[in-house]
Amino acid sequence: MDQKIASKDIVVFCVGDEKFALTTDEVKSIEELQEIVPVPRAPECIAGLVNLRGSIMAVMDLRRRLGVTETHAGRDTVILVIEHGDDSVGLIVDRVESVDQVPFDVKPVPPQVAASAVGRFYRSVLETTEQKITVINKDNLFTLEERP
Amino acid sequence: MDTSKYRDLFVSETREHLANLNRSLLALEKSPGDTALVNEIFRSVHTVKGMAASIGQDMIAEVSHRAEDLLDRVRKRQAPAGPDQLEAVFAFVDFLEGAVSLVALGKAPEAELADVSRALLARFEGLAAAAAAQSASAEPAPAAGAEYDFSRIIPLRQPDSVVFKIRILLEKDIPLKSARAFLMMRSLETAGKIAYTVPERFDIEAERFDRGFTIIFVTGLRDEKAIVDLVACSEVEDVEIREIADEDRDQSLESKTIGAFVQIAQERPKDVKVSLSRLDRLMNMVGELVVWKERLRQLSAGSGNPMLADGVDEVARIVGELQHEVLASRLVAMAEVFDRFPRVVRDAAKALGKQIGFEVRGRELEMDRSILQQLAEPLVHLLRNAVDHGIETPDEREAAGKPRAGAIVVTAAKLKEQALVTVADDGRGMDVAAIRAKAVEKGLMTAEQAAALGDGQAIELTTRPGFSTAARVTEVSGRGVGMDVVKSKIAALGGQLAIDSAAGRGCTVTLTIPLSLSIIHTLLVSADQMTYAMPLTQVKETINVQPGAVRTLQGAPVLLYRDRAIPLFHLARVLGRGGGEGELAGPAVVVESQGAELALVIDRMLGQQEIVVKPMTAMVKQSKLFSGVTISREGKPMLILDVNNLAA
Repeated sequence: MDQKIASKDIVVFCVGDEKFALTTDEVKSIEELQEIVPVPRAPECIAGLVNLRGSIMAVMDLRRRLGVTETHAGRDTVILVIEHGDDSVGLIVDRVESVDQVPFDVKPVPPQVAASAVGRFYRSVLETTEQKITVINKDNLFTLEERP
Repeated sequence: MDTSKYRDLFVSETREHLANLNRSLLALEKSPGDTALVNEIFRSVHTVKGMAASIGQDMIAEVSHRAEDLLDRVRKRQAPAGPDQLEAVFAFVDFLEGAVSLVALGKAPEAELADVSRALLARFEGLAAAAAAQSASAEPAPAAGAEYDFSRIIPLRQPDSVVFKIRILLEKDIPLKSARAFLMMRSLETAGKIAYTVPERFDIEAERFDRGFTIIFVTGLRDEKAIVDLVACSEVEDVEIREIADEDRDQSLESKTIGAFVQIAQERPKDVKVSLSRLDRLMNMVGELVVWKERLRQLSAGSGNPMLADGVDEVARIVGELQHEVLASRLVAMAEVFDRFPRVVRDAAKALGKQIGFEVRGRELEMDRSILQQLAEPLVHLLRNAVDHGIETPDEREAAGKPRAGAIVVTAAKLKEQALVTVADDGRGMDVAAIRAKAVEKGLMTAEQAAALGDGQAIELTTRPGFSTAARVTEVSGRGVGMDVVKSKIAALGGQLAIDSAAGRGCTVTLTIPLSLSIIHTLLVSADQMTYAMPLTQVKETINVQPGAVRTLQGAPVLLYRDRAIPLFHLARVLGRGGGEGELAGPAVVVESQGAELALVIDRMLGQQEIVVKPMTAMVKQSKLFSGVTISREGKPMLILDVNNLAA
């Protein structure tokens, strides 16, 4: 399952105590956290807008999106810039761990996680004896639910 | 070979050729005897073939090659420009469009289009066999214009110029043949122009030649020796040079045709290609300059230094001109999008068995490139709607006392700083009864409410999300994608949409869209520690609300303003942010929202400012409260309020 990822490099990052990954071809750049202007009445997971060298980019707070207990932005907090359609979208993560090849077994997302509210944001799980990394499905992540 | 950097060039150039091919093919369909058009099409296909081969797109190159063969036979009158041939070339153009899109995405077209390509090749082969059978039984057609392609020579000629055919033979087995050829051509180009080469330049540059090639050279030099010197180098075995006289011109090309070629050549403007991202960067920088110009002006006004003020005025003037030029450099003619429409209408009409006379007006109107690009899709949708739901079948039309062929007209015109684009048809018009029934069926309203709606209001319903009147699902209009999508796309461009429909007489959809990316005058206001820009066009007045002027009407606060009572809100609360708990008093802005006045209490006025409007990014577009975003003087994103959606 999801063998495609096995041949790719990944960016591993942390949100709360968990580790997540996106493939390097999905991540355009990694930017320092900068001032975010909130957008009234925008979906809750959208932190706001930033000015990234002259273009305006929406920024999603991955903690809020994944329902991870909120921690405050720390020294290592960064914005991953991800291409999404014609736009770029920023993703706030607590820390970037490494940029690496996939040396792990690629496993499907466990059924109980896949069935949860955030299950559709996950593509697969990379596992070794010491650690577990969840691979993000960025298309689902950035597809916002219609607001009631 | 790393071809990725050539890929973009291939995609953009092929797309230009595709637009050209579609236009020429439609014209050829109307006048099948027009040799000039056949030549034009042939050349486009030929160029595409060369480019495809040079970047290793073998499938595209092969199919193009077969299409070129077919066109060559038509050109030489060995085959007619009949419906079979035209359909085959149309099918080829569709294939090419699909293939180029795949290449643009970095995919190999082979994976998805192998079947299409095989079918096309078989089709071309069938036509070739038919032509061969025909020519075997008929008189051999006179070969037309085989030796020189004057259509490529004449546009380059000057009154005193001479045309030479230069045949170059390189020595055997030398490395880097294409580089030598390239250097020779460059050296020739210092003294004249190269009309074309045999084989084509792309083939030469890709080393697809043995060791000989021919250059057709137009020059003011009359001395053959001087030309030989230009190309001579140690690896050249032989140079043969001969002047081409006018008598060599193919007699079968009538002077009219040649006139047309000259015209085509003259129409081609002397343009350079600039990438859209570079234009965007320029635009961003000019936007920042405009903002800083204002800042400087304020600073110099406060300094009391007349010399500084003069300098700032001069800078302001130049910035203004620069802004104008940058905006102008982003303009392109509507033709870039409009020229695709005849094909769209033709195909849709054919698929539905309808007869349609289609007309485009105003293709020369210029509009900002990025706006025009985003306009294409909604317009195509409106056209398909007109063909599918608007125009009746020929029999229905005849029964209704109308001409069998329907009419669709797309018009673009300029109205102040906006473009008015209309799509008008003379079909059956919108079925207001069906729209009412659908509204009830969808639970949008009761039957009584629906019946009470005016026709105009009922028609407006079709622009609501998820509303579609298509009784059946057809290939042409698709399912569930209706006017609502068109409306929201147009709104995203800062435009408006209006529908005017008369039962039995037709329907006209009018779009009003800004012509260029706007720099607008705004009022900056703060509410709950955030700064927002309000377009001055939407602001009626700034006032100071006295607590005594506030009343309560049906449980909601109103402000006594002039001789009326208008709704009063805290801006912060309308925006759903905290704050604004205090008294409804203090500075406020009176705005007009959907025809009604209302007053918004704010924290502070921060003065006026010119800003460059940037579109909202898709992720936050759901929030209809904002028409766009800009960058503030502090370099932060700043939202632009759209008061039209505030009251809701």
